[in-house]
Amino acid sequence: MIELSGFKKPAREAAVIIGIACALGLLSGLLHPRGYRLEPAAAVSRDAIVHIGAVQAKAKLDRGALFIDARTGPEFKECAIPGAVNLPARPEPLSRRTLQERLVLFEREVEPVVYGDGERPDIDEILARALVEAGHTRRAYILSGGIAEWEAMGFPVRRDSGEPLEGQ
Amino acid sequence: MNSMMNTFKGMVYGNGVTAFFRIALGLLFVVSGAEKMLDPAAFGKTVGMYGLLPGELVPLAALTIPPVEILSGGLLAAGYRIRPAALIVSAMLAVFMAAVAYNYARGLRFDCGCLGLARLGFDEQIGPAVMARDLFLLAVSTMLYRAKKHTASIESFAERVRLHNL
Repeated sequence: MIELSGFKKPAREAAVIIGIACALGLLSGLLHPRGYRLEPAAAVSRDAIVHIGAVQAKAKLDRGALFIDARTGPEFKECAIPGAVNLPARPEPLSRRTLQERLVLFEREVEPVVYGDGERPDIDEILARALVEAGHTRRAYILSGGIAEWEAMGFPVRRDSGEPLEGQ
Repeated sequence: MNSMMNTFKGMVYGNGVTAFFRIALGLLFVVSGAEKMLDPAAFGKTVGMYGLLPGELVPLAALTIPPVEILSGGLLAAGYRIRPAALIVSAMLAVFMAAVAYNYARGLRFDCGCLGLARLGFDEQIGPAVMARDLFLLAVSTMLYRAKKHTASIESFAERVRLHNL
């Protein structure tokens, strides 16, 4: 696609542009008001986040897994998986401090299952990663199809009762 | 058919349409880079979700990718150092497409984090639509790399001045 004749000069210039841009980027990182630094991100290994289906999730519920609802408070109040707690992942996952206060929730033998509405598993993944990165669990499961898949399989759902941000 | 062919040849050589695409693509990269640079931590999370880089390199990528986008996009839009800028943009689009394809193939669905359009309510979830869009942008940037003439650019202005002073 890209002709090789006369490639060296633009490639050399491209390298200079990239170098200048990277230097500016690193400088901006040092000066950024929110203090973003070159701190290594907590390594979340690829098998730390596992996507599962409703049947597997139901088996985990039966074994006493903590279910975490990543949707908003009102959505959680309207309907949720029985026993789930609500940790809304948008606009931002709960702060590390709030999660620390809820550490007791994670003291279960079966690793937690995060679920959302089934349309945006990326949101669920952000929360699941936050939990693993914060060290609350070694592995977090994500119900890929969300509560929609759960309901479609005919599994139990709690409707319009209980308070948001409160679990069993 | 012939006129379409001629229009296409004109674009490949470089005409007003080429200039429009160059400026549009450049501005797109500037806006997209600026959006990421304003919130590097959020962009870092997105980079991490692709699962391609070790954790130590994620913040480095989050800090350096946006300014590369802004600088190469700015040069493209202004029409200065067009070939190297088009080369960088093409390389970024190619790498990005491969990353999207890899994650789509392993069943993951999340915001691609490419243009920051999700904040405006547009669906930017990784998938065929995002890949098709990037393929189109890659075709545009390749065309810009190969084009011989760039109207409405600093390079063409400088050339006119040089010829005038001969």
